[in-house]
Amino acid sequence: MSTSFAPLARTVAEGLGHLSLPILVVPHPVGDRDPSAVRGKGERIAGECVRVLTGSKEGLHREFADKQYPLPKAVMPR
Amino acid sequence: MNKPVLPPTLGPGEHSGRIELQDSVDAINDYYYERGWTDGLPIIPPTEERVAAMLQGMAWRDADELISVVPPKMGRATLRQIAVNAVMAGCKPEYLPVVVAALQAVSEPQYGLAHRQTTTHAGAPLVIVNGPLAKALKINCGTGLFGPGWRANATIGRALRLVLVNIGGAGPGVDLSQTGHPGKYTYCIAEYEEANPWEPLHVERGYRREQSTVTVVNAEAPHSMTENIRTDPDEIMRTFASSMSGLGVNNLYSQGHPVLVLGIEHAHHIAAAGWTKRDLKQALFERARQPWGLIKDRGKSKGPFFPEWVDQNDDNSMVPIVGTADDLIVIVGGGAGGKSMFLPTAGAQSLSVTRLIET
Repeated sequence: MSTSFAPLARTVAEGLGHLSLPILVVPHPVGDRDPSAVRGKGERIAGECVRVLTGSKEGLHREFADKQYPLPKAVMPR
Repeated sequence: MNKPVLPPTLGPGEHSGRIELQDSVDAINDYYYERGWTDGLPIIPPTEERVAAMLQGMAWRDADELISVVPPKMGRATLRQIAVNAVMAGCKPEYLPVVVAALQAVSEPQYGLAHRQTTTHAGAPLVIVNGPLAKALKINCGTGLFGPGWRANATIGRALRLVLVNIGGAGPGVDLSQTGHPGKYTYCIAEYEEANPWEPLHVERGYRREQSTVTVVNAEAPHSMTENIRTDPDEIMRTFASSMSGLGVNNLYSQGHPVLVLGIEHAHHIAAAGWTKRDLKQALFERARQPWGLIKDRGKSKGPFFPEWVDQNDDNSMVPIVGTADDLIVIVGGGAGGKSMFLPTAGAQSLSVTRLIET
């Protein structure tokens, strides 16, 4: 998820009952970018993806249950 | 001295949520604003007495009946919670059935509410009221129908939006509309059926003239199309078609159900020449187009229901703003003058829905 959409992802996950869903964040934007730049963003969080896909449920719950995803100031300056 | 008020949304398992606040409009407004429960404008404090009075607007229904589950938060919109938001918006109790019908309509799958609540697109739920209830509730359909000065227009649309924000959780930061638009404060009109030389929208959609309905469309802001000079329908269509198919208009790339609010003078000119509403729709279906070669590498992604009959191997194949003539919503409204309004939409991923108002 990109930074600008992470708060929305959190709300959708909670609405569906996934209160501690791990959400990994990359800098916004992703769409309409050079594919090599998008690949680079993906490669930088690949290790994290493996970790949350293979980590213990209890550990991930502790880590993500209260995690906040503030919007970047660039898109919500207030 | 404190005053009990009710919150506009309840958490999982909560059934009451009564809040004791200082009995002051200012204090209650500050409390609600700080929690993101308003649209930024002052609200009417939803006291238990006001909510009970609002529920009398649909006294035949159980106040705890679940009307809808609203995404993305999947909040439970019971009749009581809808009434709380309707009080906050300034509704009269007799408006409640319209608010409820509008919420039921946006909850139909073809409206795509989860996506509409969170998209970057600048759409808002336009509520079009047809039938005798529009006049009974004094929902403006004439001069300035999109503008201020009419309590029903102002508060029915606002109540729906407060429900979507408070119960659905689509406030700032979750509603990611890149720019938003003023219709997200309120967006409610009626059709001017007496000035319509043809059948009104709800009759076109299978209801009887004496029934009352809401039609919801997730629409962009109205765009004025001026034609003060030409009165021949063909020339009026030329003006409209040019405005309605400009590059960047969403419907050119993904069709759907855009709206034409036909001014009463334009409607008169077109009908006087012997055209039916269907003729008008067909003319705009055929003329509000751009060549595939011009739009194929610009605008937005094509689809998800892009017309299969557009030949993507032929740059001269013409792309319409609607998949069929009937997909263009045409209503009559407004006051004196040579203007009509075009309201683009997100495209075919969000379609209009008409629903009977229960009274």
